[in-house]
Amino acid sequence: MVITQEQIDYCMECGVCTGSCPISRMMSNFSPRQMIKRTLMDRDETVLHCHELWSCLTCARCSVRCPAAIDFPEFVRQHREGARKEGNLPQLAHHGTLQAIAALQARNIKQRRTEWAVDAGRFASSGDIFFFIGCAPYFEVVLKPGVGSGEVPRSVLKLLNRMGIEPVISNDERCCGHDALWSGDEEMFRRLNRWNLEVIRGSGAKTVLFSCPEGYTVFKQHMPKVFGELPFEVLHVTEFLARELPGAGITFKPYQENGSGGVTYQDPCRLGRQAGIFDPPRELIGLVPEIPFVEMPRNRENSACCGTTAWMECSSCSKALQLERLQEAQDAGAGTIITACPKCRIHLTCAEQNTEYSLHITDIYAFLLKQME
Amino acid sequence: MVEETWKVLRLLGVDERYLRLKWVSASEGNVFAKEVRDFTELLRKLGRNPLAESGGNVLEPVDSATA
Repeated sequence: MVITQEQIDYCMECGVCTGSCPISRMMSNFSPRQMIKRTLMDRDETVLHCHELWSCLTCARCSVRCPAAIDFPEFVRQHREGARKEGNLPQLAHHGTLQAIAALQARNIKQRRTEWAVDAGRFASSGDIFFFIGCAPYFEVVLKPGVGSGEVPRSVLKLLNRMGIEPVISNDERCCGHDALWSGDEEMFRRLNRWNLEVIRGSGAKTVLFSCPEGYTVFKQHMPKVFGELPFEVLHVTEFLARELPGAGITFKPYQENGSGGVTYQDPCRLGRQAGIFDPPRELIGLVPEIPFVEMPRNRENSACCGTTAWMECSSCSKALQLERLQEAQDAGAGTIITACPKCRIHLTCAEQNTEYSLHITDIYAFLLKQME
Repeated sequence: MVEETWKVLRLLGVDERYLRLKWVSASEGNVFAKEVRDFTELLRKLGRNPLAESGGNVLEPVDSATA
Protein backbone atom coordinates (compact mmCIF):
# COMPACT_ATOMS: atom_id res chain seq x y z
CA MET A 1 0.00 0.00 0.00
CA VAL A 2 1.47 3.34 -1.10
CA ILE A 3 0.19 6.66 0.20
CA THR A 4 1.31 9.48 -2.09
CA GLN A 5 2.54 12.91 -0.98
CA GLU A 6 -0.60 14.41 -2.51
CA GLN A 7 -2.78 12.09 -0.41
CA ILE A 8 -0.81 13.03 2.71
CA ASP A 9 -1.22 16.75 1.96
CA TYR A 10 -4.98 16.36 1.58
CA CYS A 11 -5.07 14.16 4.66
CA MET A 12 -3.39 16.78 6.88
CA GLU A 13 -6.05 19.36 6.02
CA CYS A 14 -9.00 17.07 6.63
CA GLY A 15 -10.10 14.89 9.55
CA VAL A 16 -13.25 13.24 8.22
CA CYS A 17 -11.80 9.89 9.36
CA THR A 18 -11.48 10.92 12.99
CA GLY A 19 -14.90 12.58 12.84
CA SER A 20 -16.41 9.36 11.47
CA CYS A 21 -14.57 6.89 13.67
CA PRO A 22 -16.70 5.09 16.29
CA ILE A 23 -13.61 4.53 18.46
CA SER A 24 -12.61 8.21 18.38
CA ARG A 25 -16.01 9.13 19.78
CA MET A 26 -15.44 6.83 22.75
CA MET A 27 -11.67 7.35 23.19
CA SER A 28 -10.66 10.94 22.55
CA ASN A 29 -6.96 10.06 22.18
CA PHE A 30 -7.67 7.81 19.19
CA SER A 31 -7.34 9.59 15.88
CA PRO A 32 -6.81 7.92 12.48
CA ARG A 33 -5.54 11.19 11.01
CA GLN A 34 -3.03 11.68 13.83
CA MET A 35 -1.75 8.15 13.28
CA ILE A 36 -1.21 8.89 9.59
CA LYS A 37 0.50 12.15 10.50
CA ARG A 38 2.75 10.58 13.11
CA THR A 39 3.76 7.80 10.75
CA LEU A 40 4.16 9.61 7.44
CA MET A 41 4.88 13.25 8.39
CA ASP A 42 6.69 12.99 11.70
CA ARG A 43 8.33 9.64 10.87
CA ASP A 44 7.52 8.69 14.44
CA GLU A 45 8.42 5.04 14.85
CA THR A 46 6.69 4.81 18.21
CA VAL A 47 3.46 4.23 16.29
CA LEU A 48 4.49 0.58 16.14
CA HIS A 49 4.59 0.54 19.92
CA CYS A 50 1.31 2.32 20.56
CA HIS A 51 -1.73 0.45 21.72
CA GLU A 52 -4.11 2.46 19.52
CA LEU A 53 -2.94 0.38 16.60
CA TRP A 54 -4.96 -2.46 18.13
CA SER A 55 -7.98 -0.33 19.04
CA CYS A 56 -9.02 0.23 15.42
CA LEU A 57 -12.02 -1.92 14.44
CA THR A 58 -10.95 -1.84 10.76
CA CYS A 59 -14.65 -1.20 10.16
CA ALA A 60 -13.88 1.05 7.16
CA ARG A 61 -16.24 3.81 8.23
CA CYS A 62 -13.32 6.21 7.75
CA SER A 63 -12.02 4.88 4.45
CA VAL A 64 -15.37 4.89 2.60
CA ARG A 65 -15.62 8.61 3.41
CA CYS A 66 -11.97 9.59 2.95
CA PRO A 67 -11.77 12.25 0.19
CA ALA A 68 -8.10 11.34 -0.38
CA ALA A 69 -8.94 7.63 -0.84
CA ILE A 70 -6.62 6.49 1.95
CA ASP A 71 -7.39 2.94 3.01
CA PHE A 72 -6.89 3.41 6.73
CA PRO A 73 -7.88 -0.18 7.70
CA GLU A 74 -5.19 -1.48 5.33
CA PHE A 75 -2.70 1.03 6.78
CA VAL A 76 -3.49 -0.34 10.25
CA ARG A 77 -3.26 -3.95 9.08
CA GLN A 78 0.19 -3.42 7.62
CA HIS A 79 1.46 -1.61 10.69
CA ARG A 80 0.15 -4.42 12.87
CA GLU A 81 2.57 -6.72 11.04
CA GLY A 82 5.37 -4.41 12.19
CA ALA A 83 3.96 -4.00 15.70
CA ARG A 84 3.81 -7.77 16.13
CA LYS A 85 7.50 -8.04 15.19
CA GLU A 86 8.29 -5.35 17.79
CA GLY A 87 6.46 -7.35 20.44
CA ASN A 88 3.46 -4.99 20.56
CA LEU A 89 0.56 -7.43 20.81
CA PRO A 90 -3.20 -7.05 21.21
CA GLN A 91 -5.27 -7.96 24.24
CA LEU A 92 -6.95 -11.21 23.19
CA ALA A 93 -10.56 -11.95 24.06
CA HIS A 94 -11.66 -15.36 25.42
CA HIS A 95 -8.15 -16.00 26.80
CA GLY A 96 -6.74 -16.38 23.28
CA THR A 97 -8.59 -19.69 22.83
CA LEU A 98 -9.86 -18.81 19.37
CA GLN A 99 -6.43 -17.72 18.15
CA ALA A 100 -4.98 -21.00 19.47
CA ILE A 101 -7.68 -23.02 17.70
CA ALA A 102 -7.00 -21.19 14.43
CA ALA A 103 -3.25 -21.73 14.70
CA LEU A 104 -3.70 -25.47 15.34
CA GLN A 105 -5.73 -25.71 12.12
CA ALA A 106 -2.65 -24.68 10.16
CA ARG A 107 -1.20 -28.10 11.03
CA ASN A 108 -1.74 -31.45 9.45
CA ILE A 109 -4.79 -32.53 11.44
CA LYS A 110 -7.96 -34.55 10.79
CA GLN A 111 -10.83 -32.50 12.14
CA ARG A 112 -14.43 -33.41 12.93
CA ARG A 113 -15.83 -29.95 12.18
CA THR A 114 -18.85 -31.16 10.20
CA GLU A 115 -20.30 -33.56 12.79
CA TRP A 116 -23.20 -31.17 13.45
CA ALA A 117 -24.32 -31.53 9.83
CA VAL A 118 -25.31 -35.19 10.10
CA ASP A 119 -28.44 -34.23 12.04
CA ALA A 120 -28.97 -30.92 10.25
CA GLY A 121 -29.33 -31.97 6.63
CA ARG A 122 -27.94 -33.54 3.50
CA PHE A 123 -24.51 -32.81 2.05
CA ALA A 124 -21.97 -34.28 -0.32
CA SER A 125 -18.23 -34.86 -0.52
CA SER A 126 -17.87 -33.60 -4.08
CA GLY A 127 -19.96 -31.43 -6.37
CA ASP A 128 -20.39 -28.00 -7.93
CA ILE A 129 -21.28 -26.05 -4.79
CA PHE A 130 -19.00 -25.94 -1.75
CA PHE A 131 -20.40 -24.47 1.44
CA PHE A 132 -17.55 -23.00 3.51
CA ILE A 133 -18.97 -23.41 6.99
CA GLY A 134 -16.42 -21.27 8.81
CA CYS A 135 -15.48 -21.49 12.47
CA ALA A 136 -19.03 -21.71 13.87
CA PRO A 137 -18.58 -25.30 15.18
CA TYR A 138 -15.70 -24.04 17.34
CA PHE A 139 -17.54 -20.89 18.41
CA GLU A 140 -20.41 -23.07 19.56
CA VAL A 141 -18.11 -24.85 22.03
CA VAL A 142 -15.96 -21.94 23.19
CA LEU A 143 -18.49 -19.11 23.51
CA LYS A 144 -21.20 -18.86 26.11
CA PRO A 145 -24.49 -20.59 25.29
CA GLY A 146 -27.29 -18.64 23.71
CA VAL A 147 -25.25 -16.47 21.35
CA GLY A 148 -26.41 -18.60 18.44
CA SER A 149 -23.05 -19.52 16.90
CA GLY A 150 -24.04 -22.98 15.70
CA GLU A 151 -27.37 -21.99 14.20
CA VAL A 152 -25.81 -20.19 11.23
CA PRO A 153 -24.36 -23.17 9.32
CA ARG A 154 -27.30 -25.39 10.32
CA SER A 155 -29.78 -22.90 8.88
CA VAL A 156 -27.78 -22.43 5.67
CA LEU A 157 -27.56 -26.19 5.10
CA LYS A 158 -31.31 -26.57 5.66
CA LEU A 159 -32.08 -23.64 3.33
CA LEU A 160 -29.90 -25.11 0.58
CA ASN A 161 -31.52 -28.52 1.05
CA ARG A 162 -34.96 -26.94 0.70
CA MET A 163 -33.80 -25.54 -2.63
CA GLY A 164 -32.73 -29.02 -3.71
CA ILE A 165 -29.03 -28.34 -3.22
CA GLU A 166 -26.75 -30.74 -1.37
CA PRO A 167 -23.56 -28.73 -0.98
CA VAL A 168 -20.09 -30.08 -0.32
CA ILE A 169 -18.91 -29.55 3.23
CA SER A 170 -15.55 -30.74 4.45
CA ASN A 171 -13.91 -31.76 7.69
CA ASP A 172 -10.64 -30.63 6.16
CA GLU A 173 -11.75 -27.00 5.78
CA ARG A 174 -9.59 -24.65 7.85
CA CYS A 175 -10.11 -21.27 9.47
CA CYS A 176 -10.08 -18.64 6.69
CA GLY A 177 -7.32 -16.69 8.43
CA HIS A 178 -9.34 -13.46 8.53
CA ASP A 179 -8.48 -12.73 12.13
CA ALA A 180 -4.83 -13.65 11.69
CA LEU A 181 -4.59 -11.37 8.66
CA TRP A 182 -6.20 -8.43 10.44
CA SER A 183 -4.05 -9.06 13.51
CA GLY A 184 -0.89 -8.61 11.48
CA ASP A 185 -0.09 -12.29 10.99
CA GLU A 186 -0.19 -12.72 7.23
CA GLU A 187 2.00 -15.82 7.41
CA MET A 188 -0.70 -17.65 9.40
CA PHE A 189 -3.30 -16.50 6.86
CA ARG A 190 -1.19 -18.00 4.05
CA ARG A 191 -0.61 -21.29 5.86
CA LEU A 192 -4.31 -21.79 6.59
CA ASN A 193 -5.45 -20.95 3.11
CA ARG A 194 -2.97 -23.20 1.34
CA TRP A 195 -4.96 -25.99 3.01
CA ASN A 196 -8.29 -24.43 2.07
CA LEU A 197 -7.35 -24.08 -1.58
CA GLU A 198 -6.27 -27.70 -1.73
CA VAL A 199 -9.50 -28.88 -0.07
CA ILE A 200 -11.78 -26.82 -2.32
CA ARG A 201 -9.89 -27.79 -5.49
CA GLY A 202 -10.15 -31.43 -4.44
CA SER A 203 -13.94 -31.18 -4.16
CA GLY A 204 -14.31 -30.12 -7.78
CA ALA A 205 -16.49 -27.16 -6.74
CA LYS A 206 -17.18 -24.36 -9.20
CA THR A 207 -18.86 -22.10 -6.63
CA VAL A 208 -17.95 -21.55 -2.99
CA LEU A 209 -20.60 -20.12 -0.67
CA PHE A 210 -19.77 -18.23 2.52
CA SER A 211 -22.29 -17.47 5.27
CA CYS A 212 -19.62 -15.50 7.13
CA PRO A 213 -18.68 -12.13 5.60
CA GLU A 214 -15.15 -12.48 6.95
CA GLY A 215 -14.41 -15.68 5.04
CA TYR A 216 -16.12 -14.13 2.05
CA THR A 217 -13.96 -10.99 1.94
CA VAL A 218 -10.84 -13.03 2.58
CA PHE A 219 -11.56 -15.19 -0.48
CA LYS A 220 -12.95 -12.37 -2.59
CA GLN A 221 -10.40 -9.66 -1.86
CA HIS A 222 -7.29 -10.95 -0.10
CA MET A 223 -6.73 -14.45 -1.49
CA PRO A 224 -6.32 -13.36 -5.14
CA LYS A 225 -3.57 -10.92 -4.06
CA VAL A 226 -1.59 -13.78 -2.52
CA PHE A 227 -2.57 -16.86 -4.54
CA GLY A 228 -3.63 -15.34 -7.87
CA GLU A 229 -7.03 -15.76 -9.48
CA LEU A 230 -9.06 -18.47 -7.74
CA PRO A 231 -10.38 -21.37 -9.85
CA PHE A 232 -13.94 -21.01 -8.50
CA GLU A 233 -16.66 -18.42 -8.04
CA VAL A 234 -16.85 -16.83 -4.57
CA LEU A 235 -20.33 -15.85 -3.36
CA HIS A 236 -21.82 -14.76 -0.09
CA VAL A 237 -24.87 -16.86 0.76
CA THR A 238 -27.09 -13.75 0.67
CA GLU A 239 -25.93 -13.01 -2.91
CA PHE A 240 -26.61 -16.60 -3.90
CA LEU A 241 -30.03 -16.71 -2.23
CA ALA A 242 -31.10 -13.32 -3.61
CA ARG A 243 -30.31 -14.71 -7.07
CA GLU A 244 -31.71 -18.24 -6.67
CA LEU A 245 -34.42 -18.15 -4.01
CA PRO A 246 -37.13 -16.17 -5.85
CA GLY A 247 -37.22 -18.81 -8.62
CA ALA A 248 -36.91 -21.83 -6.34
CA GLY A 249 -40.66 -22.26 -5.80
CA ILE A 250 -40.42 -21.54 -2.08
CA THR A 251 -43.10 -19.45 -0.41
CA PHE A 252 -42.89 -17.59 2.87
CA LYS A 253 -45.41 -17.31 5.66
CA PRO A 254 -46.64 -13.78 6.39
CA TYR A 255 -44.73 -12.28 9.33
CA GLN A 256 -46.65 -12.44 12.61
CA GLU A 257 -45.74 -9.27 14.42
CA ASN A 258 -47.88 -9.89 17.52
CA GLY A 259 -46.56 -6.84 19.31
CA SER A 260 -42.92 -7.86 18.87
CA GLY A 261 -42.09 -4.70 16.95
CA GLY A 262 -40.38 -4.03 13.66
CA VAL A 263 -37.56 -5.90 12.00
CA THR A 264 -34.29 -4.17 11.19
CA TYR A 265 -31.06 -5.19 9.51
CA GLN A 266 -27.51 -4.76 10.81
CA ASP A 267 -25.03 -4.30 7.94
CA PRO A 268 -21.83 -6.18 8.83
CA CYS A 269 -18.67 -4.10 8.13
CA ARG A 270 -17.09 -6.78 5.95
CA LEU A 271 -20.18 -7.50 3.90
CA GLY A 272 -21.36 -3.91 3.62
CA ARG A 273 -18.63 -1.31 3.46
CA GLN A 274 -15.85 -3.71 2.49
CA ALA A 275 -17.65 -5.87 -0.09
CA GLY A 276 -20.45 -3.48 -1.10
CA ILE A 277 -23.25 -5.99 -0.45
CA PHE A 278 -26.15 -3.95 0.90
CA ASP A 279 -29.17 -4.95 -1.19
CA PRO A 280 -29.25 -8.78 -1.31
CA PRO A 281 -29.95 -9.21 2.43
CA ARG A 282 -32.67 -6.55 2.26
CA GLU A 283 -34.21 -8.20 -0.81
CA LEU A 284 -34.30 -11.52 1.05
CA ILE A 285 -35.96 -10.00 4.12
CA GLY A 286 -38.44 -8.37 1.71
CA LEU A 287 -39.51 -11.80 0.40
CA VAL A 288 -41.41 -12.33 3.66
CA PRO A 289 -44.97 -10.98 3.29
CA GLU A 290 -46.16 -8.32 5.74
CA ILE A 291 -42.66 -7.80 7.11
CA PRO A 292 -42.58 -4.64 9.26
CA PHE A 293 -39.11 -3.67 8.05
CA VAL A 294 -37.54 -0.54 9.49
CA GLU A 295 -34.08 0.92 8.88
CA MET A 296 -31.92 2.16 11.71
CA PRO A 297 -30.70 5.76 11.14
CA ARG A 298 -27.17 4.46 10.60
CA ASN A 299 -27.48 1.96 7.79
CA ARG A 300 -25.69 0.75 4.64
CA GLU A 301 -22.39 2.70 4.18
CA ASN A 302 -23.04 4.50 7.48
CA SER A 303 -23.79 1.36 9.46
CA ALA A 304 -22.32 0.89 12.93
CA CYS A 305 -19.83 -1.85 13.75
CA CYS A 306 -20.85 -4.56 16.24
CA GLY A 307 -18.04 -3.35 18.50
CA THR A 308 -15.13 -5.73 18.20
CA THR A 309 -13.21 -7.71 15.62
CA ALA A 310 -10.71 -10.57 15.37
CA TRP A 311 -11.46 -11.71 18.96
CA MET A 312 -9.36 -8.98 20.52
CA GLU A 313 -9.66 -5.70 22.35
CA CYS A 314 -13.17 -6.38 23.66
CA SER A 315 -13.38 -3.38 25.97
CA SER A 316 -15.76 -0.96 27.64
CA CYS A 317 -15.58 0.83 24.30
CA SER A 318 -16.94 -2.28 22.51
CA LYS A 319 -19.75 -2.57 25.03
CA ALA A 320 -20.63 1.12 24.67
CA LEU A 321 -20.83 0.75 20.88
CA GLN A 322 -22.98 -2.35 21.17
CA LEU A 323 -25.40 -0.81 23.65
CA GLU A 324 -25.65 2.30 21.49
CA ARG A 325 -26.58 0.09 18.54
CA LEU A 326 -29.22 -1.81 20.53
CA GLN A 327 -30.72 1.50 21.64
CA GLU A 328 -30.73 2.70 18.05
CA ALA A 329 -32.64 -0.41 16.94
CA GLN A 330 -35.15 0.04 19.74
CA ASP A 331 -35.62 3.73 18.96
CA ALA A 332 -36.26 2.82 15.32
CA GLY A 333 -39.16 0.66 16.50
CA ALA A 334 -37.43 -2.66 15.95
CA GLY A 335 -37.94 -5.67 18.18
CA THR A 336 -35.81 -7.90 15.97
CA ILE A 337 -32.31 -7.30 14.60
CA ILE A 338 -31.29 -9.49 11.68
CA THR A 339 -27.61 -9.73 10.80
CA ALA A 340 -25.75 -11.49 8.01
CA CYS A 341 -22.59 -12.10 10.04
CA PRO A 342 -22.15 -14.74 12.76
CA LYS A 343 -19.91 -12.37 14.71
CA CYS A 344 -22.39 -9.46 14.64
CA ARG A 345 -24.98 -11.89 15.96
CA ILE A 346 -22.64 -13.15 18.69
CA HIS A 347 -21.46 -9.70 19.79
CA LEU A 348 -24.85 -8.01 19.84
CA THR A 349 -26.43 -10.99 21.61
CA CYS A 350 -23.64 -11.04 24.20
CA ALA A 351 -24.20 -7.33 24.91
CA GLU A 352 -27.98 -7.73 24.99
CA GLN A 353 -27.87 -10.62 27.49
CA ASN A 354 -26.60 -8.35 30.25
CA THR A 355 -29.14 -5.59 29.80
CA GLU A 356 -32.85 -4.94 30.11
CA TYR A 357 -33.31 -4.68 26.35
CA SER A 358 -35.65 -7.30 25.01
CA LEU A 359 -34.51 -7.37 21.42
CA HIS A 360 -34.46 -10.58 19.44
CA ILE A 361 -31.13 -10.87 17.62
CA THR A 362 -30.92 -13.42 14.86
CA ASP A 363 -29.26 -14.03 11.52
CA ILE A 364 -30.82 -13.88 8.12
CA TYR A 365 -30.59 -17.64 7.51
CA ALA A 366 -32.36 -18.68 10.71
CA PHE A 367 -34.94 -15.96 10.06
CA LEU A 368 -35.69 -17.06 6.47
CA LEU A 369 -35.84 -20.71 7.47
CA LYS A 370 -38.37 -19.93 10.19
CA GLN A 371 -40.53 -18.02 7.72
CA MET A 372 -40.58 -20.74 5.05
CA GLU A 373 -43.78 -22.64 4.44
CA MET B 1 -13.55 -25.29 31.20
CA VAL B 2 -12.11 -28.75 30.78
CA GLU B 3 -15.37 -30.00 29.25
CA GLU B 4 -15.16 -27.31 26.56
CA THR B 5 -11.52 -28.22 25.93
CA TRP B 6 -12.52 -31.88 25.42
CA LYS B 7 -15.04 -30.74 22.84
CA VAL B 8 -12.48 -28.54 21.07
CA LEU B 9 -9.99 -31.42 21.02
CA ARG B 10 -12.65 -33.64 19.49
CA LEU B 11 -13.35 -31.04 16.76
CA LEU B 12 -9.61 -30.78 16.07
CA GLY B 13 -9.50 -34.56 15.68
CA VAL B 14 -7.52 -35.21 18.86
CA ASP B 15 -8.39 -38.11 21.16
CA GLU B 16 -10.07 -36.54 24.21
CA ARG B 17 -8.23 -38.99 26.48
CA TYR B 18 -5.04 -36.93 26.08
CA LEU B 19 -6.58 -34.51 28.56
CA ARG B 20 -7.56 -35.83 31.98
CA LEU B 21 -8.92 -34.08 35.05
CA LYS B 22 -9.09 -35.85 38.40
CA TRP B 23 -9.44 -34.56 41.93
CA VAL B 24 -7.16 -36.30 44.40
CA SER B 25 -6.80 -35.32 48.04
CA ALA B 26 -3.32 -34.65 49.46
CA SER B 27 -3.93 -37.54 51.86
CA GLU B 28 -4.47 -40.04 49.03
CA GLY B 29 -0.94 -40.67 47.82
CA ASN B 30 -1.75 -44.14 46.54
CA VAL B 31 -4.72 -42.84 44.52
CA PHE B 32 -2.55 -40.14 42.97
CA ALA B 33 0.22 -42.61 42.12
CA LYS B 34 -2.25 -45.02 40.52
CA GLU B 35 -3.85 -42.21 38.51
CA VAL B 36 -0.51 -41.01 37.16
CA ARG B 37 0.59 -44.57 36.40
CA ASP B 38 -2.66 -45.30 34.49
CA PHE B 39 -2.48 -42.04 32.59
CA THR B 40 1.16 -42.61 31.62
CA GLU B 41 0.27 -46.09 30.43
CA LEU B 42 -2.61 -44.70 28.35
CA LEU B 43 -0.40 -42.00 26.80
CA ARG B 44 2.07 -44.68 25.75
CA LYS B 45 -0.76 -46.53 24.02
CA LEU B 46 -2.17 -43.42 22.37
CA GLY B 47 1.26 -42.46 21.05
CA ARG B 48 2.52 -39.15 19.82
CA ASN B 49 0.46 -35.97 20.12
CA PRO B 50 -1.17 -35.57 16.70
CA LEU B 51 -0.94 -31.78 17.02
CA ALA B 52 2.84 -31.85 17.46
CA GLU B 53 4.49 -30.27 14.44
CA SER B 54 7.75 -32.14 14.64
CA GLY B 55 9.61 -34.65 16.78
CA GLY B 56 8.32 -33.96 20.22
CA ASN B 57 8.75 -36.27 23.16
CA VAL B 58 7.57 -39.75 22.46
CA LEU B 59 7.17 -42.00 25.41
CA GLU B 60 9.04 -45.20 24.73
CA PRO B 61 7.65 -48.42 26.15
CA VAL B 62 9.52 -49.19 29.35
CA ASP B 63 10.17 -52.43 31.09
CA SER B 64 7.93 -52.44 34.14
CA ALA B 65 10.73 -54.06 36.19
CA THR B 66 13.05 -51.08 35.73
CA ALA B 67 10.39 -48.39 35.77
